[in-house]
Amino acid sequence: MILILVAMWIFFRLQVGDFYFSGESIAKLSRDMVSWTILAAGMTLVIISGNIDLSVGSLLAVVAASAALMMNPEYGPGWSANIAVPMALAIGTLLGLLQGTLVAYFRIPSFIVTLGGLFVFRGITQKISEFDPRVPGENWVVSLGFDYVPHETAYVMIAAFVLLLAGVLIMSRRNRLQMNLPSWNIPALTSILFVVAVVLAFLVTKMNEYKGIPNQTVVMAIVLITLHVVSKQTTFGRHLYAIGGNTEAARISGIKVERKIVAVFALMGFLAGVAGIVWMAQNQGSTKNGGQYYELYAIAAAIIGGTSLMGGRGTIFGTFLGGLVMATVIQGMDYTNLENWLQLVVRGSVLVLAVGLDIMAKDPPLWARRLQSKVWKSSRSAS
Amino acid sequence: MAEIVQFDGVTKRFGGTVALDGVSFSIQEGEIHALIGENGAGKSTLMKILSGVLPKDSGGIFVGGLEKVFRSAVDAQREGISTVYQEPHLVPHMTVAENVFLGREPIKRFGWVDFNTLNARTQGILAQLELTISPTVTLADLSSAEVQLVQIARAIAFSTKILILDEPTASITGRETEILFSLLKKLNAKGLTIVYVSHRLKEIFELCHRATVLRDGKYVATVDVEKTNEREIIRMMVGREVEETSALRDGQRSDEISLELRGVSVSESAVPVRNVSLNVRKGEIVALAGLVGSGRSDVAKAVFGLNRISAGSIHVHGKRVDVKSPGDAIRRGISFVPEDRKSEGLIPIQSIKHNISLTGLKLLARLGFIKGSAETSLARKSSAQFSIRSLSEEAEVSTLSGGNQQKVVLAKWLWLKPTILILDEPTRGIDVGAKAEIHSLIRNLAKNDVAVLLISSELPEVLRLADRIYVMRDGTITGELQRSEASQESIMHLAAIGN
Repeated sequence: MILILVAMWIFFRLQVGDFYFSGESIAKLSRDMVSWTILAAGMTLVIISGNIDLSVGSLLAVVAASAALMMNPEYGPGWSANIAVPMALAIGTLLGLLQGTLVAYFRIPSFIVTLGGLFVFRGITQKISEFDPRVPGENWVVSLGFDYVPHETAYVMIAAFVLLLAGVLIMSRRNRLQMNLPSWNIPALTSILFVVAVVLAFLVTKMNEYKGIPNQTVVMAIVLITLHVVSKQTTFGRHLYAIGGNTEAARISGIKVERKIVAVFALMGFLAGVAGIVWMAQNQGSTKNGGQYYELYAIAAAIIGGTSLMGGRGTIFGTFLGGLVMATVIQGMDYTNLENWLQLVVRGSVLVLAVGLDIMAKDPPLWARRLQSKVWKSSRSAS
Repeated sequence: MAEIVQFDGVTKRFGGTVALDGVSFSIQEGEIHALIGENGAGKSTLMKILSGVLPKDSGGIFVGGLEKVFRSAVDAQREGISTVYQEPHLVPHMTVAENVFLGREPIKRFGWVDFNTLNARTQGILAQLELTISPTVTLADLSSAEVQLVQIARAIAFSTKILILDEPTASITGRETEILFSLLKKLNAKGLTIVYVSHRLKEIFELCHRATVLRDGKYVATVDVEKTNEREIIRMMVGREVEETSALRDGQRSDEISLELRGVSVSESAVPVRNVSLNVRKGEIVALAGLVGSGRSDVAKAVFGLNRISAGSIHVHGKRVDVKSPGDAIRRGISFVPEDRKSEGLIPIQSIKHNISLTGLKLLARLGFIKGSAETSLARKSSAQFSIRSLSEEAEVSTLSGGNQQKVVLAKWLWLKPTILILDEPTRGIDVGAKAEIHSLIRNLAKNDVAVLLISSELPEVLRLADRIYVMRDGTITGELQRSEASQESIMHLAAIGN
């Protein structure tokens, strides 16, 4: 998947020219992917548990619209962000909780519950967003959408991140070696850290040449890292994998399956809320059609990143890569000045191609293996 | 007799593991040839290669003296080789006739399926086999034995010369096995060559002419069934002598009752359970015998909080309890090894480590964060204790053999140190070696004061292990036997007829 990404970057660099690797372009890419990549991260956990959430795009819109309305002095009460944002997040969480309850305790398939949610929440959004409420300019929410991390702080942040990563990797290596488990050797470990540090430093320097790291990109990073830890290190995360892997076995093993399902949908609702706030900040208000199709972007990013629709398999890091693939394709298309209809066609084809290549590399179907062995044989006999 | 199939140095690798290592032997025309070996010996792999499902890496297969390379199951079928798999490969919601002709339906003009011909021809085939199943009945309405027979009908419907059966009796009862065997003998008398894959030795002595033994992917020997005995075959399968200890354990039994059911009824289960009373003492192995579908598993599930009881009471260590969920049962020191390891026991796509720790993740975590090293050392200890054979504890459970999978299920329940252990068919479908290991494990647990409730359909197993036996029929207990008065006949009498 990383190879596919790099190939696409090189391709677009050749197509677009110098501007493609400029700070502005990178900052814009990282900013544009924020809202639906946050959705995709939550979606990954939902899919791992063996479910799906089609309502997240509409859910995002409901939260964005209600937050905007609450903060708008003309059509709403004009509350401060300190009140409106927590309220809006609570709304997102509650709606997720409601959907989770219908899935877990009423046994309605999540596909149906959230398909219903997709329409219901969109309808509610259209009512709340009747007058397309704007958010007044001077507050921290809007700065979330428009401002950038101060340049020095950005360097401190990536330094802290690299140190943290180093700490975690070294600890895990020590633990694994103590247990006689295979682990990275020191050169591999240092080179990984080195590459990460160089890439991050390059990205930050580039972005600082422009305006810096967008605030919202930091929000996305925090969400991704947190969910990564939740999925890998906590009992809750492990239970989700178990439920998606085999619900009956999980139940017999003492896991309260229903409660975990409700919890994962509530978490998804909360994350849709976070994404909704970010989206509202980007747009300084809400519209009737905000976040449309984002559920599909989110599912696509998760699947491209290796999450199995059958449940039980998937990683947050994979989803992040999937999000990058999506963002790269979408942004790259914008630069190429292709007509809109053609952009859609190419975007769709690239997605199928990316996942297809990945599957071919990991688990080739029988015909591909036969073809490969034939080519292999003939090339060997030729030489 | 002519050799109909000849294997010549057939080799197959899966990644780093050698599944078949230069296997050579031959099958003669018109015989029933048994292929036996422990799980993982390579029986199924060899049969999949013969039936065209898997490609071989090297070696040759000769059918009727000519070398053949099968690229798909259709290729093999064209040579007259058909296979009946262990798990039905049929569509439950279609009729018998549609299933028999699946993928080769007789067709009218414009591609419409010709249902009249379809049903009539199926009727003919079923009549030939002297089966009284209607061609138009939906498969889901048949018993698992009847489904098995339909599979055979499908397999021999089209000029089949060689029929491969892979563990055909795994999911059917004793009486149904008799029907199956008489059908196979009839077909064999008409000249059909049968390859019979199994690890049930009794069946082989009853049915087969010759037997080939595989071990660890290698050919061991081919023997005339009449000139050998069970002991010799087991030795060839395992590569050593297996102790069949049936020694009575010393009678030092406590009077303390660990688990007691008083008049328990369950109305919500598949088989309604009525008025079941039983008790298991500390350090005692009590068997719950009976036929499949007599409600044994439903009793176990009621104790474990998976079924709600509608009447009666459950007492654990003398205290009346209301077990609401499996988590509740685990907290009370009860462990439950469920009947079907694939669908209830394990999470096949996860590692050994994650499967074992799942039952008590909270015990391995601080503030919700799992302590990785504690989890790994648990998996290590369990793998050693239960001699789970794998590359590492991070290997995916689905890659293990049946016996090793079952050991993982046992491990995940036993590290919780239960005081009450319920085992539902703990040795189903696993090989002789692993079975012996699990038996001695159960005995050891009882010696260490665990109260064991054992559900098993295998009467020899029940008689070998149990101190006391309850027999169930139609959801209720029809009798209690002490070890001294129990025999296969007395148990079967209570299970099939009642008292």
